[in-house]
Amino acid sequence: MSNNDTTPIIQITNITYLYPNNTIGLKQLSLQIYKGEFVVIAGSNGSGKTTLLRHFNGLLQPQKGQVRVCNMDVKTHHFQIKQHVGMIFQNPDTQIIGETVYDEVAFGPENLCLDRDIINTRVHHAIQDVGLTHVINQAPYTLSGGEKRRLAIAGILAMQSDIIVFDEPFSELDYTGVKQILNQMVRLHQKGHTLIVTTHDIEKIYSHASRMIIMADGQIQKDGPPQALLIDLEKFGIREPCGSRYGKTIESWLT
Amino acid sequence: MADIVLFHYQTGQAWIYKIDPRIKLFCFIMINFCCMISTPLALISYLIVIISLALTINLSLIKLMLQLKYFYVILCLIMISRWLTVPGDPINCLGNMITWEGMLDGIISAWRLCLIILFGIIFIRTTRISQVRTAIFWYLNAIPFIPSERIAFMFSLTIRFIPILMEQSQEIIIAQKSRCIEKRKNPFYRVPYFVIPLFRKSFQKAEDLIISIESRCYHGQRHHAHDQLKSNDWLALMIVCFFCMLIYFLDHMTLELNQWFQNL
Repeated sequence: MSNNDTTPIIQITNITYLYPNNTIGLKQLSLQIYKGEFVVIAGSNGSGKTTLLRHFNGLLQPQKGQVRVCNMDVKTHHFQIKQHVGMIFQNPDTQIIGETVYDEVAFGPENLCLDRDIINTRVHHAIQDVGLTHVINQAPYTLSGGEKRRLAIAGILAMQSDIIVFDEPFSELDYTGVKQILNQMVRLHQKGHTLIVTTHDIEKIYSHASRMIIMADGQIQKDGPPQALLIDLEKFGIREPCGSRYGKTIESWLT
Repeated sequence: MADIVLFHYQTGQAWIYKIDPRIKLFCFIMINFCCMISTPLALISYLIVIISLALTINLSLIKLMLQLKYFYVILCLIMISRWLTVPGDPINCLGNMITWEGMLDGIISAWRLCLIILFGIIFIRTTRISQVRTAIFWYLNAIPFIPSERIAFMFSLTIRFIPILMEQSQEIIIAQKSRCIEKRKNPFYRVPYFVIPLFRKSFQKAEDLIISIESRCYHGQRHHAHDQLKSNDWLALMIVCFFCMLIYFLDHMTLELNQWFQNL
């Protein structure tokens, strides 16, 4: 958290979400996230991580409680909030709409009905930022897994979102792909974006996160600095990083 | 998926890529309409156009024809239905059920459909989906009380979904082959095992796509950039119009001459 920002950028108060088959998604969950934080939400499968993420930009609405983003209620300002909170989905293939890298990145700014010149500037800047300029006219399905995920990030950057939410960003990626995405995330955080990442693979992101939240059964079980929560991970079905198990320091994947 | 050449946009530098999508869409509709009313002689000329266009955009027609293999089943069904329903002189060696006229009509109908599909593939391959959407929006926007934006967007999503469906069907076929589905010769057994997972996966993908679109601020209104039509666009339009009229005129003249010779 930066020193000047005492007002939460995301404020969640007592939200409950039930799926149509009455499965509990989230139960009486409250959470505050501050500007500039790098938050990891850890939890085993079915713990409610993705359900929580989808509340951040109004894709899901809670049956009880309130979600406020940038001091706006998600229920009444869902369009503005979607602009503030960009979401990178677990499977980038489902997110890709455009027939070329350019079209894909331009999709969001076109929805914002911006002028063509502004769209072009934003798209080129975002593509350059994620290092995909050399494939700007290629079809997205020809890209590698890591490139597809970077393309999804570019799509969000072009919308100039302050908060970027990653749902299992490292799934199905090889070592190179993980490093590319991790590098991108660290750079975004350094530029001042608020990052929220869900994962059950803590080792890859541990060194860079400023806060860790452990979820189980649709509730927050632990919340604090990552170093303080390492020993609790295995109680909730999350693997403790290898270095920590053997009493060694956990190195960044980028070193 | 990289092997699939059907209904995919492919970047290129050929002249056809540079034509305004509105003109391209109009020409595409006009050529298809002409195909529907043409005789075999005119259809040959349209086939030559397709071959020339395929060469221009480096599209391998052999690969394309191989990927269209499931489409041939539909063509065969159309041909058979025409053979059995069009009245005329019966073909004695085929048990009088099929007529010469039906046979000819079936072949021509299948040929026309095949040409339309090929023109469609070339159109999609040389036009970005966003351009198709913009062109449809431009035409529909002139008609009052029509949700032009939504129709254009739905149309572009439909085109976007065709390769996904093909990719998924290929995945399902490979997965089933790996578990010896080919041993089952009964199609009534095999079809549900193909269709049900295909539909389930497709609906799931559609659902994911909707969530993704919604998360990126889609709200029914989008930016549409219409460039001014250039001289090349007008020239292309004139060439296509002239070509279609010429083919139509020659087609009719041939028929007239044929009838005149028969009367003699």
